[in-house]
Amino acid sequence: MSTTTSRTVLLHLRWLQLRRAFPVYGLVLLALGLLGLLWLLYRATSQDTGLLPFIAGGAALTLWGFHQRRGDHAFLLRHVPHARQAMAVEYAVMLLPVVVVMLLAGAWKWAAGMALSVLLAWSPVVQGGGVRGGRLRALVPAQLFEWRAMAQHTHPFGLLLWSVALAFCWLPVLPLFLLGIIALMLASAQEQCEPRAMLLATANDARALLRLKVFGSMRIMLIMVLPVIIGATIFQPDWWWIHALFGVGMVVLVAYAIVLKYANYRPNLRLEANGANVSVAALFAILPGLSLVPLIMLLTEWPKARANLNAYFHAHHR
Amino acid sequence: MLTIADLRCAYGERIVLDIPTCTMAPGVHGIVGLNGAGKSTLLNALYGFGRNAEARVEWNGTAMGHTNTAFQEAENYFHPGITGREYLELFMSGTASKDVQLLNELLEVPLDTLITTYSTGMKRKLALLGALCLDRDVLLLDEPMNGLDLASVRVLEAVIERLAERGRTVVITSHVLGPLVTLCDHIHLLQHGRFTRTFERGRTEGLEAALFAELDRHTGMVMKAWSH
Repeated sequence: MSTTTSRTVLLHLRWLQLRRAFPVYGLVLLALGLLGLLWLLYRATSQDTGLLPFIAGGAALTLWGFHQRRGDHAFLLRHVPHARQAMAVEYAVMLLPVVVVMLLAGAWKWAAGMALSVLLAWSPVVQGGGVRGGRLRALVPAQLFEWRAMAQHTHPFGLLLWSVALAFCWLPVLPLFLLGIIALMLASAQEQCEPRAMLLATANDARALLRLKVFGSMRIMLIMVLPVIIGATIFQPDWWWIHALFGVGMVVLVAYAIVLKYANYRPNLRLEANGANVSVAALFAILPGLSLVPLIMLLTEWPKARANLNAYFHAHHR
Repeated sequence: MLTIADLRCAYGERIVLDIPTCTMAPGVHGIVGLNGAGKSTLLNALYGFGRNAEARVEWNGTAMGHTNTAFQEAENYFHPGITGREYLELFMSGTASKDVQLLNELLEVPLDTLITTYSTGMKRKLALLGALCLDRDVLLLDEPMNGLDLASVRVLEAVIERLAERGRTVVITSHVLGPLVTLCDHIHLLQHGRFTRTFERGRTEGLEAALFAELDRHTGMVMKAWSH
């Protein structure tokens, strides 16, 4: 492998992945979507330069998260010549559209700062067989193992998001936006079905299992949501009802994801299709007038979850 | 006493298990049969899955299920992103937990690392520890020796003997005869979903011949046809 090629090897790989994942029209649509997003970003930054720090910070955080989650990090360092430079080239291409938008908006300093983010390729990655967030996990009951698994997959990124939400609760929308991201992360952690042995060890019957999972998770969600919501309400007292509805909506969203999982539970399966339903529920949850809809969805799924789980807890005649 | 009556399991129209009546006293019971004989189906049925409505499967007069039975399945899956200790915490009950910690000194499962980093053998051992943690009256082990090294098989044999001494009923399936012959008080031969013979400890002459009789006959016919 020549040195020039090795520095662009990851780009070639991504291109191959894209080609395999999408037909040509899909690639065209993707490109159009990306251009549309850039245009929106450009319009937003041109009209309100106050958005620049959020866009730059968001892009840098996303890149940092991507770097931390690289499953191929150790492999690249071991087998690819100039692996860090190859990663830097990949990150540069990922950041390029945002940098271009910032340059077009005349934000030279932010663009330069963004360009420096490619140096993340030289930062260490905390992964491998290591257990993440050990102290946080110890606070979670054993029966809520999905939360512990989620800590493994998102720590410290999730904690950072929550800390930022709390630290910036004086801003009007940002804390709610970050809480929404956290709630979606928690909801997506409910897509993986546990094996039958773990299900049956968690509780003695379907009713007890659902109560334990749903109310246990709601309790943790409240611990996470309340400080941010209270903080935001102190700074924007007029918005108390929006904050309250949003907070309840996020708690109900996670509870709905849990009930939906057990309504469709099959041992060891990853219920990726549930993501679509959770997204719909999330959409309703953020709309003040319609935030009751996720609760109705939850109550609709509850009997289905009980019926499905009963088949596993009293499965003598299946 | 484990009592089975009128137990039938079917996949569609095909009946794969048909046991009109059977009793198993406390102790170690081996279930031996060729692939497809119905061993795993039997253990699943004992645990509560796939039984017919008329079946009566009881332990001392109580219906058998997950509340009085522990089951180590042949295939082990675990929720991703958790450690061995976190997995075992789910199964912990009373004094059994201390026993399991002692046992792990022999089995050497690295409980504080992620299960996704475990080898096949470690996963088997973890699943076994989970089943032992539950401290149930009946323990069902489906091919427990698969994937274990020789040392772990020795530990497993010692564990099973100890459980039998404590009055538990252990039902093991295996297609490896050697360990079963030394370990089991009774070996039940399962052929085409039916118990055809039961061999007592120390009187297992003829077990291998009975197990392979049909296979040998069929193999002989195929070989004869092949040579022509």
